[in-house]
Amino acid sequence: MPDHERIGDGPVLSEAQEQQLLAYLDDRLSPDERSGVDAWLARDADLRRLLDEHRRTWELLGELPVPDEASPGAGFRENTVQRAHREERLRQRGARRRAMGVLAAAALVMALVLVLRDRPEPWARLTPEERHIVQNLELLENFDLLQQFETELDLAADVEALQAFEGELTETLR
Amino acid sequence: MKRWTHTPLRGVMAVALVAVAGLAFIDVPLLDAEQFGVHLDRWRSMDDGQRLVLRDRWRAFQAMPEARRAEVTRRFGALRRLNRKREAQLPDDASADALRLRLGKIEALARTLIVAEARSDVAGEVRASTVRRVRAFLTSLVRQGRIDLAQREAMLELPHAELLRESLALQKSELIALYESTLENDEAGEADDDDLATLRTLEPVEVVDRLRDKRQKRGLLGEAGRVLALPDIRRERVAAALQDRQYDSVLEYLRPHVRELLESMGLEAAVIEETLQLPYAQLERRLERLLRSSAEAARRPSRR
Repeated sequence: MPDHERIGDGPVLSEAQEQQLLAYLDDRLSPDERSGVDAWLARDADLRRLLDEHRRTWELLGELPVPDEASPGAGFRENTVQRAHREERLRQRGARRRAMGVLAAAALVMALVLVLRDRPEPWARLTPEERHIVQNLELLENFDLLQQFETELDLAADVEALQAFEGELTETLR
Repeated sequence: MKRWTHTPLRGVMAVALVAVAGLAFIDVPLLDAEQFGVHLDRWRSMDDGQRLVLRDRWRAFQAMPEARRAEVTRRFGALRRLNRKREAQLPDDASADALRLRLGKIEALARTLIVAEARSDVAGEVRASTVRRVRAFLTSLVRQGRIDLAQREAMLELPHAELLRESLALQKSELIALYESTLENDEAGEADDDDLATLRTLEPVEVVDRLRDKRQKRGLLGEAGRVLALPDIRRERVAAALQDRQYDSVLEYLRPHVRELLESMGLEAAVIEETLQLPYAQLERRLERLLRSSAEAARRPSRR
C-alpha cells in the first residue's frame, strides 16, 4: 500500500512527506528518521524516481551561492525557489521583449511596403491606354510611314535576312 | 560574439530591404525603364492635339487583325534597325523623303545581292534567294544533328515572316555558340566575355553584324579560327574578302589550311573532300563539330 496518492504517472506527496524528503536530501534528518525514509524508498519505485529528480535539481541549485555549503540555513530552499521564480519571470520577460521586437520590425516592414507601393511612379498617373501609347510611342509616331512604305520596309527586312544567311550557299551573285 | 544577422530586428530589416528592392520592380513597364522614361518625357511635352493623333493611331492599331498588327510591328523593327545603323542614320525628323532616300539605297543594295536575270522583280528574287539560303541553313543543321528533319519541315511550312523570325533566332543561337567556343580558347585575349552577354540581348540580325567583325579577325568563328593559324598575309586576304562578302575567295584562301588540318586529324579522304566543298558558313559549323568530337575523343580514357 503506497504511503502517498498517485495521480497520473508520478506520486503526489503531502506537504509533510515532501518536507521530509527534502530534509533527507539536505541531510538534516536524525538517523532514525533517515532509516524510515530509506525503508519508504525501498518500497516505492516511483518515490525513488522522484527523489532522483529532486537530487538532480539539488545539484543544479548547488551552482547558486548558498550561505553555508556544509549546513545550509533553513531559508535556503525558499531562497533558491524564489530565485528560480525570479529568473523564470526575467526569462519570460526577455522572450516577450524579443517577440515585441520582431512584431515591431514586421509592422515597420509592412508600413514601408505600403508607402512604397503607394508612391506615385511617373507612369502611375497614366491611364492604361496612355501607358500603351507611351510604350509604343515610336511605332505610333512612325505609324503613317510604316503604312506608306510597306513594300520597301518588307524588302529591307528581307535584305537583312538575306545578308544574315550569307555563306550558306555557294551562289554567284554578280 | 553575436553575428549581426542573429539579432531578430536586424534580420527582419535585412529581409525587408530585399523585399522592398524586389517590390520596386513590380509594375515596371515592359520597355526598359530608361527608354520608357524617354518616351514618357516626350509624351508629356506634347500638346493635346499631338496626343489626340497618337490616341487615334493607337486605336487604329488595336483595331487591326492580329496578323496585320504583327506585320506592322515587324516593319517597325526593320525601320528601327535602319535608324540604328550608323551608315544609315536618318535625320532626327525622319521625314518621308529621308526614309524614301534610305529605302531606295536598300533596293539598290538588294539588286547587287540577287542574280542578274531576276533583277526585274527585286523583291521577289530577294525573297526567293533568302528562302534558298534558309533552306540550306536548316539542312546543314539537320546534318550537324542540331535540329531534326521534322523540325526543318515544320519550319519550312511556316508563313514567310515567321520562317524568317524562327530561322534568324536559330542563326543567332548557332553564332553565339560558335562565339562561346572562341571565348573558351582565347589565348590572344581578343574575345570579351561582356560581348557574349550583350550579344544575347540583341536582335538576330544585329548579332550577325557584330560577329562579322570577329570573323574577319580570325577567318572563321569557333575553334577552327584558332587552330588554323593562318599566316598573317593570308589572314589579311581572308579578312578583306570577308569584308567584301566574297565568300568564294575566302574559301579559296582557307582550303589549303583546312585540308592540312583535316589530314592531321586522320579523317578519311572522302570526308575531307566533302568538307572542303562546303559553303563558307557550313564549313565553319562542320569544322567546329569535327574539332569538338576530336577533342572529346582525346579526353576519353583509353579502354586498354
